[in-house]
Amino acid sequence: MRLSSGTKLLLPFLAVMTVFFMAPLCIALGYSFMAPDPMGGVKPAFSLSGYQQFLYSADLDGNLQWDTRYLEIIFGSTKLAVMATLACLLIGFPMAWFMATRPAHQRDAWMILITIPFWTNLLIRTYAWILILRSNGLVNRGLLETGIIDAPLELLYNPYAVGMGLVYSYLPFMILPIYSSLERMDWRLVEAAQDLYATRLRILWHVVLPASVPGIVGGTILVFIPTIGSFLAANLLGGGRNMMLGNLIENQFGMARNWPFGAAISVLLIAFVMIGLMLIARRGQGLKGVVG
Amino acid sequence: MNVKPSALIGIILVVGIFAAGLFYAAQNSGPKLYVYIWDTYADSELFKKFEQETGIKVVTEIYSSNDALMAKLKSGARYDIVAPSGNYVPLLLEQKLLQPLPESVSAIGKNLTENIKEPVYDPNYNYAMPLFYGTTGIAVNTKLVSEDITSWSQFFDRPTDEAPSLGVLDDTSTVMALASIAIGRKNCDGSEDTLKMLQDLLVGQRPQVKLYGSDGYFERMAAGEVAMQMAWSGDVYTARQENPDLKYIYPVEGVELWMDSLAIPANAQNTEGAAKFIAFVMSPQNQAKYSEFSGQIPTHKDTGKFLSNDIQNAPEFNIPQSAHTYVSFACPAEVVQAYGRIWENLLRN
Repeated sequence: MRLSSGTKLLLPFLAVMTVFFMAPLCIALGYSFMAPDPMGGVKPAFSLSGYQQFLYSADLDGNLQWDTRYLEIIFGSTKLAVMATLACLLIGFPMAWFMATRPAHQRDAWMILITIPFWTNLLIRTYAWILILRSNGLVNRGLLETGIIDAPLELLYNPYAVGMGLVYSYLPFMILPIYSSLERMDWRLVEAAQDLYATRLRILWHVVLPASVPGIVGGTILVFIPTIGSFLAANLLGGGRNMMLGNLIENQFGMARNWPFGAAISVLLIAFVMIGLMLIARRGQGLKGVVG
Repeated sequence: MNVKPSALIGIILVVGIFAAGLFYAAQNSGPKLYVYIWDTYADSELFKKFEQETGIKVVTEIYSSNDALMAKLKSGARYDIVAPSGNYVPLLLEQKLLQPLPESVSAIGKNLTENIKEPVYDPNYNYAMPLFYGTTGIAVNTKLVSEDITSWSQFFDRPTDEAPSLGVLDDTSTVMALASIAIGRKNCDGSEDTLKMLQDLLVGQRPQVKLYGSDGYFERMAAGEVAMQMAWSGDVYTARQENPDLKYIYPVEGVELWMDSLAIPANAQNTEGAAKFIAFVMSPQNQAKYSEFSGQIPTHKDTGKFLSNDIQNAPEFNIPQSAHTYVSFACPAEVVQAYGRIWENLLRN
């Protein structure tokens, strides 16, 4: 078989994706349709128990009951992910705007500054937040010593700390796509708007915002997907007090010893995200028509 | 020459990574021993001594729950040494995840202290060599708690107007075993009545719990982040070295008695190295050193003369005659599932 050189260039990518992405995904999909082994692992028999458990629970007599516990966990995780994404957008957009409006030679420096956090492992950065926020951490000690507060504030181990951790971790993923959209924007449009006496707010709304839509969509996807499945922040900054989707999945492979259920939740999460992406992609085409 | 700063950094990174790779490769030639062990047992100094004596390089990976260990072995991960707790040894054996210890290693068993000799699940040390033992009780920060803590009920049943200040391990089987002791029921009882009581106890405690976690929890005790912490005895000893306000309590209802062992997984590649490792760690001198690091009680009977007075007199090291001890064991699968449900109910918003 002869391959065009373009296709050949694609081969390494395809090989990596097959081995490290498609294969694990297929294993998860397969496991989700098997019966759990009480010792952990799966029994090689077809079973829908993984999916059934998601909506129904068996009581002690073995009767199935409608059970919304897991839906609540999904709802809680989704809510947190939406809030974190919105916060990233609110903080990230002005930052991206600031970067894009610097002289060209300064922008590279800003880019490097934005990427500096990635030089350190996420786990270590999250632990650093614990040291900063805990009862006798930097913030509390500073506030106590300056006499602003009398007793340490409880900054950690609550949903706000989790949200803050997520915003901190994923903010660069929002800034960079928006920045690249804004950087390519045709600034003559802004000048034209100014010439036509548009107020600054109107310029932002009618010129800048539409031009940055691809970046906003990209940033939202890059932030929302990892936050909805994240479990590091919930575990470390939330003190494991509220179970998130990621923790629920992890639990099934550890303490709960229910691999098919864990696999089934993963598959449902992937399906949920994929449907969302497909909807965005379809709307995105419509948006392109508006912007372009 | 006009080089962009980003390009320069890129070049430095690439060269750096390449150099690091070469350095790493040079360091990593020779025989290796993959040790998968409790986070609090990763004594790099002792492992380095083993490397110097045998020329076998120790590659350490850590876990903080037996369930993590079992899931990893079950998924086919390859290690040469693991350290399951006694109650998990029968589970691992049942699934054929361990291989028999060489006879020379099993023979070390005759030198173990009377307290823990001949565990029921492996009386002849054919599969697991007891390494440390200890209890699970309560660590109290006496600076933050003024009342005299003597019982589990003071830990599980706090006044509802109190700010969250408790630390609970996120290890379902340990929490359930201790909660069972607190309500005076047998662990793994599994009756509807008991399950209901356990759930009520834990759900009732939740508003006063600051966090559920086992990763790095002794550092949090030492930093005074929690007023009381459900804790493994040796970790309290370790934390107490940094924070003398900590006090280890044996509650009147009883404590859990546990033991951790060294074992060789069925799919281990360096069995010979693993046998050497166990023999090395189990020598009285090395085990004493290891105890000073982990704070746990050593199993070899002759470690005494190598241990500091400080550790020998520590309350964590001396289980009072009066203390009720309950040996931890694994619950049947259906009880484990019921415990899992209680745990999920507890942590859902």
